[in-house]
Order: sequence, then C-alpha cells, then structure tokens
Amino acid sequence: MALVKKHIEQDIEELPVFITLDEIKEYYKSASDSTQKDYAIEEMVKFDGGAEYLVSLISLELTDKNILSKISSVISNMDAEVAPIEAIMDLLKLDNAYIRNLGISMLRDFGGAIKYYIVKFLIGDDRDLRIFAINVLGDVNFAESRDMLVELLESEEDINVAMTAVDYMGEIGEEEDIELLESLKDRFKDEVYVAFAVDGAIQMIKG
Amino acid sequence: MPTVMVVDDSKTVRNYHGSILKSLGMEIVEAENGMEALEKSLGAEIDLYLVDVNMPIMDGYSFITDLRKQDAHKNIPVIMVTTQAKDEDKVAAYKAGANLFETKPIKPDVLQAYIDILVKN
Amino acid sequence: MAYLLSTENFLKISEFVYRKSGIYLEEDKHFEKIAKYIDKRAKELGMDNFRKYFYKLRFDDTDGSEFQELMNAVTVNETYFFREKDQFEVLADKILPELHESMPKNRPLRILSSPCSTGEEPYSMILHIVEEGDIVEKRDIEVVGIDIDSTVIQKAIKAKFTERSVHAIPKDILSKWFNKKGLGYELGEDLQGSVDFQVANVFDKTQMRKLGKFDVIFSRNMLIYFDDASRKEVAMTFYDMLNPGGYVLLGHAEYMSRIVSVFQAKKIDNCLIYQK
Repeated sequence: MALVKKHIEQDIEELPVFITLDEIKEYYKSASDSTQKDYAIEEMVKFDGGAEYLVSLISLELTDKNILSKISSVISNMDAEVAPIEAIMDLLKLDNAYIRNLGISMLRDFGGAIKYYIVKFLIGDDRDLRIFAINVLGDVNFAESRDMLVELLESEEDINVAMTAVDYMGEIGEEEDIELLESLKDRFKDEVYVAFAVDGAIQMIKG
Repeated sequence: MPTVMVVDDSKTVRNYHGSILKSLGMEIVEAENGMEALEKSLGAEIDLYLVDVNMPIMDGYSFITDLRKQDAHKNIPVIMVTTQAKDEDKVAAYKAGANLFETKPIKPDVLQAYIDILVKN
Repeated sequence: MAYLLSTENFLKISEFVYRKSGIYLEEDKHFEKIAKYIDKRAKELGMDNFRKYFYKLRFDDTDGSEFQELMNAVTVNETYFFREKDQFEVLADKILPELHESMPKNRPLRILSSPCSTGEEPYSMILHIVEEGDIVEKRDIEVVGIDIDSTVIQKAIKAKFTERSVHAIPKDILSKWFNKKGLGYELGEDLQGSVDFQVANVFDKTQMRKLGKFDVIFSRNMLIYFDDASRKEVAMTFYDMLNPGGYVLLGHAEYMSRIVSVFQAKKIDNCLIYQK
C-alpha cells in the first residue's frame, strides 16, 4: 500500500448527447444513479421548456433533498431572461412550506429581474410574500426601493412585515423618514418589539 | 448559564428575542438559517432553541428534523416561531419535532414563562 | 485615535461579509485590521463616516471591486505548508482511518485539493499522511490537485519552494523530505510525483467528471470569491464528486450554511467538516 504516483485515467461512464427534451425526460425517469440524474438536470435547462419541467419536478421529488438542491442550483444559475420565473411563482402558492421556501430561495438569486413580481407581492394579501418582497427590495436596493418601503410603511398593519421594512430603512432610509418611523410606535402601541426595531433603525440613519 | 439558540434570518428578530432572553439571564447563540444552527449546535450545550420557519438554505422544519437525529439534541426543547399560525403549519412543526409553536414576535412575559418551564426546571 | 469603525458597526460589516462570502469575521481577530483598512479606504473615497463607506460597499459596487478590496485586506492570500494544519491532522488521524474502514477495500482512497495553487496544500496532505499513523501502509492513497491557473500547476509539479513557504514545517520533517536548493527547498525524490496535478476549471462539468469520484475534498478559501449562485453551483459539483460518506473541508472561516444544505455538518477534534 502506498501513495499512488501516477495519473490514473478514471473509469468514467459515457454520458449521452441529447437531441430533444423528451429524450432527456426519458433518461431522467430511467436514471439509475445520481450522476445520471444530475447530468439530465444540467442538460434539461438547455432546451425550451426544460426549466419549467424541472420546476414541476420539485413537487414530485420531495423526498430527495439532493435532487431538489441540484434543481435549485441549476435554475439559480440561469440567465434571468430565460429563467422559469412564472413557474417558480406558482410554487409560492402551494401549501408545502418547504417547496415555498425553495421557490423563494431560487427567486432571491434573480434579484433585479423580478421587480414586477416584487411590486405584486408588496400589495398582495400574503404576509410572508410581502416580507420576501421587502427582503429583495432591501438586499438589491433598486432606485425605487426606499420609496416603495416608505409607501408600505405608511399603511402596513402587520407587525412582522412592518418591522422587516424598518430593518431596511435603517440601511437605506434618510433623515426625513424618521418621523414616519416614530409614528409606527403609535400604530403598534405597547409593542416593545416595535420600539426596539424603530429606535435601532433611527440610530442607524443618524449615523 | 443556560444557553438559548435563536435561529432566524431577520437580524431584528434575533436581536429582539436575544435581548429579552439575555435580560432573563440566558446566554445567546445566534444562527441565520437551519444549516448554520446545525453547525453551531455541534458539540454545544444548548438548553432551548427558538426557531423561525421561513429561512433560506435550510428552513425551520428541516432543521428540527435533522436536530432530532442527533442523540445529544433529541430531547432539547424547541419553540417554533412564525409570522402566521395556520393549522397545517402547527401540525408540520409538531411532526418535525417542535415542542411548542408561537407567532412572532414573542412578548417578553410569554418568553419568560417558557424559560421558567422549559429551562429553569 | 478613534477609528471610524465602532463595535456595532463591526457587527454590521461582519454580517454583510458573512452573507456575501461565508467568511466569519471575529472581533478579537479582525477588528483592528478592518478598522485600519476602512479608515484608509474612506479617506481615499473622501468619506468621513462609516455609514457612507458601508452604503458604497452594499449598494454602489456594481463590479464588486470594492468588496474584493475589502476581502483582500481581510483574508490572508498567501499559501504555505501546513496552513490551518489542524485540518491536515484530522485528515491523517481521523478521516482517512475512518474511510479506510467504511469504503470498499478494492480501490484507493482519493483526495482532491481544489484549488491546489503552487502545491503547498496537497503536499501538506502527503506529508501528514506519511508522517502520522500508518494509513499509507494499509491502503493506496491518491491525491489530486487542480487549479485553473496553468502557471501555478507548473510550479506545483516542479515542487521547488521558498523559505517562507516552508516556514511552518517542523525542522526534522523538512530535512527528512526536502533537499535544500539554493535559497529554497525542493521536494525529495521519495515524494516527487506523489500528487497528480491537473489544470481544471471547477465550472467545467466535463472536466470535473473526468476527474472521477473522491473520498475527501479540500476547498479552502476559494468559494468565498464567488457570488451566491456560483458558490451553490460549485458546492453541488463537489457534492456530486464525492463518494457517499465522503467529506468536504472548507477554510476555517468558511461555512456551508451560507451555501447549500445537502451536506451533514460534523465536528472532529474541533474541526468543522461536511459529509455526504
């Protein structure tokens, strides 16, 4: 037994070249190991409709976290223009929290490209999606981010949504926003959490 | 000093729950997502976990499921916290291994009551 | 003299750095270095407070150069033998013996160093393997080193090193396995050729597949330089390249929790490692 001192050519499985998406789907269904499945996933996105198909697989492959991570990674690395954004949006409507979270994490990687959807979520009924939208606004900081956060804060009734926005106001807010922030303490009277978050944000703005 | 791990991707929520817990005499460890919480729980003596549901990389349910697989953490109390309290979310939390379910943010006196029952005993 | 950087601001910037790169900055280790760098950089930019610098770093850094400069100031880029050596010790003392029992006996145990740079990391593995325990007598071990830069691969193959590069090797081990050559050292004949060096790009799936499967992958201080999506992609590539039960080791301040959740985190002798 020893240190191996020469280059050993590895016994690599010959992987097929695909002509159509249907071929890849067949290959994926009959794949016997993870190398083949991973290869199929990587190749699928190169075909029209392939990415959408991958998104549809997410609901079916729930028990295999590795496959889900692979799909999520492959989609995240797509160009925003061709990415299956609408299909991912549909995932966010499902009951399964794990799938919803996976959808959100894929969207996060597209940041700027999903501005339209961000606005849709901000004015929607789902508070978790409002929080997600605020996170994107804050992390990406579009030119309109601050205005959108201010507008949200003027009428937001949910404490967690409001405080997520307050968090980011600490980073991108201006002195003139301090009055609005202070007013939140009245709107959410007696909430220690609100005073905590608002004071923190104001302190950051003041520098 | 007893140690509480606060797992939440919101810094404000971590700071908020953290400051209440510190005032109750707890030592705090923070994590931003379930995977980080697992990393930090290795070899650590944690007396209580406060875990958010929606986090990137690894969410609360996956975290608790994996945590319960470790002998050292099989029986450590876990409070799941979330922005909404739908019935199916509660069921999912208990199935994953959480002991309690709360909406966030948790009020100081409620958190104190939990500490009294779950940690100080 | 007070720095622009306060303790609270240190927390903010370290959280940001963690989010962006996975590097975990600690106050006692990094505060002064970062504070000095920020003072210098803010002055260059004509800024008089931390908030302005932080805003630029977060929102006005389209080509990522500002962040890169901060990272250069924070991370130690030089490579040398036995850097973060507890990981090599865990490899030789714990991981390889464990894998020797759990992996099929009819093949070598394979270790990948990515990026291997000028070879200090894979050769450090070799030195620990031959010096500690007896695993090399029980089992064939194959070490592969890859890097995208062909010039460093050439240097790694030549195996000639400076005084600085070998400074952390205990003198008896240095004289046993190296020959003094001029002002530097050359790896002795016994260990020449003990690492299979190749030029390869971790983003090239075909190249990565050709390397085969591994039992241990060291990837220290590489992922931190990628953006989130690329980091995820490479982490998944490493996952694909591992045999089940195999391990990935990242740099001391790097964490998989920033990247993917597929690996199982484990601690051996206080080293955080990730298993498939």
